[in-house]
Amino acid sequence: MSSQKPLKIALVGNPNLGKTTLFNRLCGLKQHTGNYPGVTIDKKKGNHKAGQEIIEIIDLPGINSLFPSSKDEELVVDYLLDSESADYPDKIVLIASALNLKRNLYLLEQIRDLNVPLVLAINMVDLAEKRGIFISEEALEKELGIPVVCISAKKGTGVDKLINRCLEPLNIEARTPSYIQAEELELLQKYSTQNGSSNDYVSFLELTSKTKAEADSTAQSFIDEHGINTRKWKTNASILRYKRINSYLEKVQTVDKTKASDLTSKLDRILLHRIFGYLIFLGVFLFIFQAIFWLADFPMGWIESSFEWLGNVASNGLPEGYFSRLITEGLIPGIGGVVIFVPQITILFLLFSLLEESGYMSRIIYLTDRMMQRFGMSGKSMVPMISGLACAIPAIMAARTIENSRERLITILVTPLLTCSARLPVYIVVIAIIIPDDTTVFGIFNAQGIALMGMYLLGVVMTFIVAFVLKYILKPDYKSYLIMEVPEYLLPSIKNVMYRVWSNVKSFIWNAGKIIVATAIILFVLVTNGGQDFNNAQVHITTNYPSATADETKNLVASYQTENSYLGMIGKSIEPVIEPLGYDWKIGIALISSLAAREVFVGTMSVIYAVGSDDEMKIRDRLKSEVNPNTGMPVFGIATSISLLLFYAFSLQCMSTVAVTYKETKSIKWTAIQFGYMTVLAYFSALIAFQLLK
Amino acid sequence: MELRLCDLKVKKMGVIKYIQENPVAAKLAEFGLLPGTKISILNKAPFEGPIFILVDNNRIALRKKEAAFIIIE
Repeated sequence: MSSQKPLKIALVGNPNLGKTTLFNRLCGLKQHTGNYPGVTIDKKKGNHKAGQEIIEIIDLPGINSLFPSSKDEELVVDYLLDSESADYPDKIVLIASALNLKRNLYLLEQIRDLNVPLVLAINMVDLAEKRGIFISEEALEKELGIPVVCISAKKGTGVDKLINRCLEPLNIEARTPSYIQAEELELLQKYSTQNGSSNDYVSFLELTSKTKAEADSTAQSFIDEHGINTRKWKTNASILRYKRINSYLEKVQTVDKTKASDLTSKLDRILLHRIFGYLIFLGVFLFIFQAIFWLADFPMGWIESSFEWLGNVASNGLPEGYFSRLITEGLIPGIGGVVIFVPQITILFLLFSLLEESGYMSRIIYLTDRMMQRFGMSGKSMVPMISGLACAIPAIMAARTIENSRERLITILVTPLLTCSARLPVYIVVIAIIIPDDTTVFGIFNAQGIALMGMYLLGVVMTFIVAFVLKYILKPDYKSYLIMEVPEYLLPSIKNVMYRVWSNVKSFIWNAGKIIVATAIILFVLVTNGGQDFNNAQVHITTNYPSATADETKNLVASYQTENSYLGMIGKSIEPVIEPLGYDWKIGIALISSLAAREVFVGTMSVIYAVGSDDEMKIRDRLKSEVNPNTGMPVFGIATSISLLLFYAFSLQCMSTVAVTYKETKSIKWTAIQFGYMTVLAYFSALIAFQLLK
Repeated sequence: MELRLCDLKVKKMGVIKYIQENPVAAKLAEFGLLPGTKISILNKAPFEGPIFILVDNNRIALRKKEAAFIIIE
């Protein structure tokens, strides 16, 4: 290891121990999520400055043990085993919780046998002392032979000491295996020699891991040849390890039971109550919903008017010309279309991280597991599904924590049916067209709000219907199970929540923004250029409408140009396919352009309708006043609007989702099936709705 | 008749006698569910849902199916 390179420290630990709190404490905002080449492991990287030295910190997803049972864990374990890799950390810091030392020492004991440079950080010592649990750093250090530091990640105590201990040179030597019985150890050593492996525990993990042994024929034949019961090996290993931990636990930890407080149990008695528990869950859910709409409404209004103002300033301030029009008619409405969703996304991520930080998310998994089972999923599917209400991309990635591959696949396939925030702009605009502002139901409920809620419900209902169907189509491959550690309730750390919201919102703006701005520019160029008809618009209009006033002529030329632009030609070419759904070529263009991302719809409509018109009308008023030249009827009648709502509710117009599904399933088949079933569902429900309502 | 963990009533305590051979045996051991460990039931979700237990000051949720492999005395 060259001394010029920054020291690399990886944070490893069981889930929910304040690992991320420590990471945020060390790196502040100097962090980013990144992926390793090849495998996409959801890890965060950041830099910590200790004096003059820059230290690179890597935060890995929580794991329960080195026996992975989900995709998530498998990736972390693979990373920890690949000690030859250039990405391998110089030091591994294992975070344990003082409240649950025994269980966390189990993972420590496992990693210790990998003979990698390891430092133990015991978190939440302050909280533990209040509960009467005292841990001796020195005693534990003597037992384990590695540096041990007690810290409080939340308060920051002990963190500098931890870094200093990480900077010390550390020599880790192989120790006598305590995870296997003598006669089996002989077999294991035989396998190691046969494979030229220097580490017996790595061999042990290779033999006992189902996926690894299946991929490696030498491992599989060794298992068969010697009749090894790998499950028994694993079970015994756990028993032996806990025995070892118990042998020294009392020496390193003293517990004063009189100080024990059990707030968590008291809270659970209410929050997990068979009636109140579910009512509270429902309440929490409704609250999230209300917050997204009503709380976000105010900042959204401000953003909308600021962009209108910006558009005015730009069109008055910039010199006339093609480039200025590109900015005022293409870019500004395009960017405005993204920024307007920032308040909603912020609120959603804020509440979501509060749920996770407080420990309530695990209770949701517990409460809903039985119901989700009936739909071929697990309680753990609730986490991706709730985050699917914000965006399907992180949601599909969150499905990694689901152990059973069938439950995971079903969750991935149905998650994009949930109403993500990108559908909101479409819903809001279309609903505003068919339901006038200030319409109320029973005099109190906002009718537009209720319609929006109806769209959300529709998404949820369809998600469960499709999941139910998939449950019968997909054969269960192996037995599904749920064994999960449930954390104590903790007061969420404001800092953690803020960091999380910030990084999620930032990546939303950046990722959606890139696509939207690019589409806006392409559309603008396509709509302002065309063939011969486009160029001869002025002549065509003056010959056909000789009596029109100057203003009328100008409008007629503009709409004739739009119709005959390259974009218009594309829209017209797909008209036969979408006409039965009640759409004209302009909507057709919006459909095509929103194949990249749904939220482009509003931007596209803004660009198509903004081009060539002077008045600063809001997009929905402009759509409302749009009239079909053939029938004289409004284009956005009830039938077309409802058909459009259904189309957007079910179709998978989001290339990023398609990409992430492929990445996560590694299967073209399932990616195609997801895109296919959603498109069919969207097309036919829109078709039926329009044909019945027109 | 042996008493299974899933048959234990809420708020009752027991000690694990042994764990039947099963596909998730290794997983159960990993979570500290070992013979001789004290165990108490904190909560049971309705409609045959999961069971919430306390083992070594550690809260664990598991399904009824898994709890049926754990024999209590």
